[in-house]
Amino acid sequence: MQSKGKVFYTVGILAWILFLCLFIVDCSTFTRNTYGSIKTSAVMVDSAMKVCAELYAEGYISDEELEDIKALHRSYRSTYMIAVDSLAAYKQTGDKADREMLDYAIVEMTVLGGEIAVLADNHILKKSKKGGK
Amino acid sequence: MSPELALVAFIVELIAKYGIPAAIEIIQTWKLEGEPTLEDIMELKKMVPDTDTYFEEKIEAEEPE
Repeated sequence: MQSKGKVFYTVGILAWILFLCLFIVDCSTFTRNTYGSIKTSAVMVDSAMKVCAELYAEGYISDEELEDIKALHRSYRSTYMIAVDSLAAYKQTGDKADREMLDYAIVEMTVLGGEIAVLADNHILKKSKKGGK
Repeated sequence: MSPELALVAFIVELIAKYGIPAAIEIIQTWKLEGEPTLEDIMELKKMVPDTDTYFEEKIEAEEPE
């Protein structure tokens, strides 16, 4: 239950960031804001993955857990690439289908990115419970 | 909570969660001026490297000479 709450918390933060990027900051255009959202997501997931890599090197993440993280990141990466390609296509064409694909990819990317962040958080927690600094 | 306070709280949370460099990069993203070019958009692809890259670096760093 606590873990579920943590998932909602992290996904909530990501959703908040995306909301800020998409709707609040200045009077920006859709392309500009979506670009900001994608970039923000990439920075966060990159930080989470670097944390996971450090924890794995320190022995706080097992090989089995690492495979789960890798699988999640691979899914995130492919959705992320779809989002970038769709944004590029939408910028060039303004086509509705590209926009729909972009919206779909952004949602998927946010959820997967949130899951990676939660996994990283859980492993940090596990490390601190074991007394690691 | 006022919008200014909410923004400060949000930035503090970003730093706590992702560290100062990542928080700075995120905040810089908000400051983007003008429309991103197609080149800017395609540059985004480099920001998410292949999954194994994260762990290869660690393995290489640990290997004895």
